[in-house]
Amino acid sequence: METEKSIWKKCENELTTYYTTENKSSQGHYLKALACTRSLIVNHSTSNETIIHILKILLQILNSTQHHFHHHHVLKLLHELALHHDVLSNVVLDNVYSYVLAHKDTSRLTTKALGVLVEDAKSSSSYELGEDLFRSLCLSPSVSVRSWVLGNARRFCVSPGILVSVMLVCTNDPFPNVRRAALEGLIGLRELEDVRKRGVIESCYDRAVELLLDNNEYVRSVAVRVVCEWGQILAALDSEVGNAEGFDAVFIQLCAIVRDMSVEVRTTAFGALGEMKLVSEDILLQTLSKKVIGVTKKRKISGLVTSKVVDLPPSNAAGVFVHGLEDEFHEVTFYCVFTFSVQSVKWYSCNLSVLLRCPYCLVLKVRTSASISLGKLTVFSGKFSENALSLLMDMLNDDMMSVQLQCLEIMYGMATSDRLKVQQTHMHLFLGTLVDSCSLIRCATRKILRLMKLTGVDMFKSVTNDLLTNLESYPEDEVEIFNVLFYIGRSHGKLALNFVMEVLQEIEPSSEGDLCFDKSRVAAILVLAIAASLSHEQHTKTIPIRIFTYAVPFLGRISPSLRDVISQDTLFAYLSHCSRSAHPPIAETFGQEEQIPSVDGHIPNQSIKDIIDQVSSSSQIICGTSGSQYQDNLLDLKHTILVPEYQPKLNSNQKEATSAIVFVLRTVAATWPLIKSGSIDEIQRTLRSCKDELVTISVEFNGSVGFLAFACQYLRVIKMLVKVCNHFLPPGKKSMVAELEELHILEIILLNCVLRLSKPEICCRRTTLKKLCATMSNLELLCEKGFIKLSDFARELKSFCQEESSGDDVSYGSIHLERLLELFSLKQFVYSEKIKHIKADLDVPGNDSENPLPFISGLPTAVTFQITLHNGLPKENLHIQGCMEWIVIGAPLFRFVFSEYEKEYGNRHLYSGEKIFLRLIQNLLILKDLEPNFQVRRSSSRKEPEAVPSRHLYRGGGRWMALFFVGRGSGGDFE
Amino acid sequence: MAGIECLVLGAGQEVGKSCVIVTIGGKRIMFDCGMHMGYLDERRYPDFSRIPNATDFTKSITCIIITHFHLDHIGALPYFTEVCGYDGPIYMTYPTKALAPLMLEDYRKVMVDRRGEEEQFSSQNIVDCLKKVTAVDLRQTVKVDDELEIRGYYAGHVIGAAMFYAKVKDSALVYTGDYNMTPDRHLGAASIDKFLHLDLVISESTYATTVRESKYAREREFLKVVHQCVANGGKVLIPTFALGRAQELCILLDDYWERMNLNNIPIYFSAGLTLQANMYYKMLIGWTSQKVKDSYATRNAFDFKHVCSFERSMLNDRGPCVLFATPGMISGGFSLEVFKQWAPSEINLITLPGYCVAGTVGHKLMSGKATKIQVDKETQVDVRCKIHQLSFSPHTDSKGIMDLVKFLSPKNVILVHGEKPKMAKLKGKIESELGIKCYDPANNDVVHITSPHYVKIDATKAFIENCINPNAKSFDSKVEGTSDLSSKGTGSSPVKETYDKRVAEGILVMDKTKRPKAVHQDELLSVLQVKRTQT
Repeated sequence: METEKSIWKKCENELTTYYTTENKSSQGHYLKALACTRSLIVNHSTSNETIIHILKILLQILNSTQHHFHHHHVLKLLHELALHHDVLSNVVLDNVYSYVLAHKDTSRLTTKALGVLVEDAKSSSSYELGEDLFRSLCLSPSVSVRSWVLGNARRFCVSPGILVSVMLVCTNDPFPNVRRAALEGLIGLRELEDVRKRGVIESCYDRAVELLLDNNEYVRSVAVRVVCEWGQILAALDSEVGNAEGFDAVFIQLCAIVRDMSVEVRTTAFGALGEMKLVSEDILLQTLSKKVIGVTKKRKISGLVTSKVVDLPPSNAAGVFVHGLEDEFHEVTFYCVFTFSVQSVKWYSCNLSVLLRCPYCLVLKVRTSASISLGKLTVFSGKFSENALSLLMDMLNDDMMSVQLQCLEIMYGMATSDRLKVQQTHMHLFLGTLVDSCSLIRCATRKILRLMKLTGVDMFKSVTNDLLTNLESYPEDEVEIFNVLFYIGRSHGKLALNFVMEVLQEIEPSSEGDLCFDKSRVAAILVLAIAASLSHEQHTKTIPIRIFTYAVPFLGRISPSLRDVISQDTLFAYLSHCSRSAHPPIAETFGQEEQIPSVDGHIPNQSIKDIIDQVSSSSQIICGTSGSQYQDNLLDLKHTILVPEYQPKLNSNQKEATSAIVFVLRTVAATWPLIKSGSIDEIQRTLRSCKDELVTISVEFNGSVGFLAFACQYLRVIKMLVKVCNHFLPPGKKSMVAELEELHILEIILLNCVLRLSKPEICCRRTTLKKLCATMSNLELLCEKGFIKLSDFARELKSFCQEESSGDDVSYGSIHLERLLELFSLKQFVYSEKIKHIKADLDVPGNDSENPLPFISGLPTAVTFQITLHNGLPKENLHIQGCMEWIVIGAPLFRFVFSEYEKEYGNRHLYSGEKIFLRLIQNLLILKDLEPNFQVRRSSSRKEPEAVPSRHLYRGGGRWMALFFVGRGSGGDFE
Repeated sequence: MAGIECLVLGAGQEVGKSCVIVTIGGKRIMFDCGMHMGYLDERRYPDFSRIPNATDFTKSITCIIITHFHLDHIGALPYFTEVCGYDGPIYMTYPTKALAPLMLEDYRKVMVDRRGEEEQFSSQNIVDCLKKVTAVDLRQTVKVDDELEIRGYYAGHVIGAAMFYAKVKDSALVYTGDYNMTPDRHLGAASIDKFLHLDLVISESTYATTVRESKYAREREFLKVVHQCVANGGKVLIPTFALGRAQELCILLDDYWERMNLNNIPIYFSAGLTLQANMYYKMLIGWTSQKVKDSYATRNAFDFKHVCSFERSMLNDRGPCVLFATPGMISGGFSLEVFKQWAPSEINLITLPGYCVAGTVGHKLMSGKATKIQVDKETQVDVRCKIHQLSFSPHTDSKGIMDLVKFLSPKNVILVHGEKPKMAKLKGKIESELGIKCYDPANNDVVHITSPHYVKIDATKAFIENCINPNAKSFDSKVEGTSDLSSKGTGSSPVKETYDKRVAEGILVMDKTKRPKAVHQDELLSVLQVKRTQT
């Protein structure tokens, strides 16, 4: 308070003398005073009294007629003041408003003042900024004023008609940034109802078309947007009266600018092309070919520009997408690919059922009513997709992985809408992606293959063979490859059958009697055989029965990959049936008389007929045999192919696990009375079994990992506590109220401190006390917030803390401490689903026992390390800090502190600490024993970094891992 | 004299010895100074005697500008400077200056040492010539003298290729040299500013009528044949020119190898010029395409992962491989040697460049199903291998030319560096579609182009301010006009008036000094030194 006042006094002095004497020599002091004043304003803890003082002085300066030069400083401060102090904002704004009215000049100062008014959302309605002011500002000699005014035109009370015409006039301005601001203003105005008059729209469009040829690239790029927006409004108006060519005209107009030399313009142009709601088919086809095709040659489209009649040659559209896809700048390519997909998807959606759902149905309806039959549309769209496909296939050769992935994504879209017709010429390139070194690309390709229709034996063979060889080069993909083979085999039953018959020898035992059953290739062929047999009952007859027999031992290998179609039990049932019965599984006879025993003895209530039905119904969806049914299922494809019983099982599994953990926690809590009674052995046994329980759960538990990890950690802490307690404790009984998890943890920490304190020889008293006090105040704050009564233990401890901090440090108060321990009691931990588990891995790449890090003794050595943070925190600036302890043989412990800032890396956070320099004196550095100790802090811009209440380290699998629970600083829950 | 005069000394209706003399605003600039590779007599050089004041070239020509290092653009330069005695300034980009001596020296060696021809210029000539060169950067404006300024723009084509903009007083032109409007694997697309008032564009027209489809199709074909060949255990010979194509194909293959995990199949670079060229490319990253530049931080695209150098002894090693060898047309040298060894096997593959000079082995292979080729007097090669013709080209196609001309929208276009009938077609297209006057002169033709003559006037401060600031008067009338509109609620006519260009208002005064002067109307009385009379 005192400092605050003295600071302000100084500032005030400085400011007033500066303004009265105008002593230029004190400029430095003056600026410093301004900065101080600003920090006073911004600081929330500044007293109101001072703020009002500041306001008074500022207004005084503002209203003095001299020293206009410095008014902008004052305005800036006033602006801050209005922002940070809501109560005073009205006073500030009133004054600024009157200041604006009083100084009706067109200088930058006025705009500055207006800026204060405009930026405050509340003020825009209450302070009327009239037309006169607007006009005079638009005529200002200052360029920045003009562009500012145009940018904020909507804040003035000016009728839209005038706004538009002023903007139009300003598009003629000699300065490019004014032209740009005017064009941007025009984009903003398109929604206003008053503006939507044909004449106005036409003038805007015309002007924008002219500015497409502007000298300045930024003007051109905004002009592109104006052309797109206003052109479409104009075209929509036209199409209402039956002239449907408007959209094409706009599209072609935009195509003309796609070859601009500026990257900015090209990017915007492709973006704009993607926004076009409607384009006719021939033009769309033309965009895929640089050569002008016949249809477009004949066509003439008159431009929408009204001032002069221009014919737009549709040849403008020639090869637009080809150019875009080839572009040097990947941002352009991206936009192009995006636009391309948007336009293709729009194009495919020209199907009646989708039409109704389409947001642009109005436009499309008009289009269709223009006597273009639906059939013709589909034919055309087929052609378009064919051309588009070859272009896309070629893009698979692009040197950027992201582009390749995008292309595969589009192809997948085409496949789901049954438009993917791959030709033999493309197969080499397409199948090439199967062996790509990037797993993402391989995965995307397989996704497509599942849905693809293979025409002809050759194509089927090449795909299957490639998949089989793929199996050898990427054994890790086995599950997925089997899955793809299954899908392919089922949708092309006959081809698959022939193929299997051809390669049958491979499966048969060799002459020496060796069965090469361990080969994945054999498994793959068996998958294909099963798929073929499932595709049609007829095929089951053709396939030799022994094939099914061979397949049975492979069950464990095959079934995981077919999990989305058929469960293991069902598959087993099917196989064992097929291999046993000499006759084909004819449903009627079979379903009634025989039930198949399954692996674990219970009898599946499904007959073979059911299996085939079930599998084929899901396969039908995938193969897209019936169009309308297919459309409905498009969106949730995954959902439909999941075997129904599968999902609830998952859910119940999770619930079960959670309740099991809760049970464990309850058991843990129940041990506390036992601790007090001193039966340590029994408790330890209980806790051990609890731990085993948790381990069992963790094996099959894939739900909330955080909770599980927490439970493990919690159990560990309690276990250690029990061990420690053995040395103290004459027990007692009390109860507590608090239910918050954090309270719970804090109390345990407190207990830990108390225990430490009671054995002075094992701890540093001062540090422990410090920690105790800090935790205590933390706890108090929590309780205060949640209106929770302090537990007896905590209350007692509080008084103990107070005593300790004030009293002399001779009294150790061991009696005190004993009583404290008596007071403590462990309650059951209550799970509230807020626990989040953050794990960090520390890795020193290139260091293992065989190839240790190279270093020369006595010289500093560099160690690169990587910290991976899993279950990432929300996107805030993370500040990771830590220290490592290095054990060097024959030397004392080294401790290094590092601190790194965040690098975003996918959904994980990867910190790669550059290098730590170590000076090693001895010969051997054992990095395996390094013990990192992290602290992750969130340092958002406003708040101070927060400390972490608890953390723990443990070691696992050759790496060191740190496990910590990040609390929300002073209060709140675990997250 | 107002206007531009263009004397085409080379590459008029033909490809080879590019050389255009442009006289603009009293300055004479020579764009490119190339040699024709098809001739061995005096026709190989441009006819320098046609330059006005041919006795003293240094006086007659203000400067020489070289667009890139290909011999048909630079080949005659040492001859012109050292033999003909030109001693004025020469401009070219940094990479061109770096790579030009390599090219010239290589050519000289081939001509003199191998073919035993008369030496046109010596090694020393090349060194001396390049000493006179001033290297320029892209988009760097160079003031050659008080009036002439030139600026280079990225042209693609080969590394260091540039288009040049030249301006004298009110006349301005752009000479494109060779350029490429689509990027390839290692070079970017041509890029230039949008100028107003360009009087002339002199453009190449190698592919005046061809429209090339996407480069991806070409790449796909190429990769497919190469992959199929090596997958069957065959060897691939890629005879190529050392600079440019070799690097592009190599980037393509290296990337493909990486993706397809073809680590066990080596790609070889035959020793010699190519390795040296690769080194230059590594250093000149700034002149490559955006993609290469972007990835440079992580990896230099010219540090080929799968490429190793080749030893002659490896020629008959077993197993598949890919080999780059010079020269491109299999006219001799190492590529011929390899050809002899590999051609007889069916599983091998030989790729041919898009263009081969008649008489070379490449040309014979291209022209048909030659099964037996007489390489020299003693040896005949039985060709059984597969042949694949590359269709990569660093020149822009006709659509690219149209796009560039449309973007620059000059008043006139002159086409050079192309074949006559095709150029005529393109000329017609430019005139009909873009409405721009176009010429396709033959060698030694002169084209006159009129350019507008501007008269310089002075202007007062008040007048200029009035021009720069919004014109209050016209503005008000427009605003009122629209208020009319909003009150009527119909009609489009009032808004349309906003189309009037902003016109500066002032009064032109000519006083005794004869220099006209524009003044603002308020100043008129004071300028004329008269007083306002009350009427």
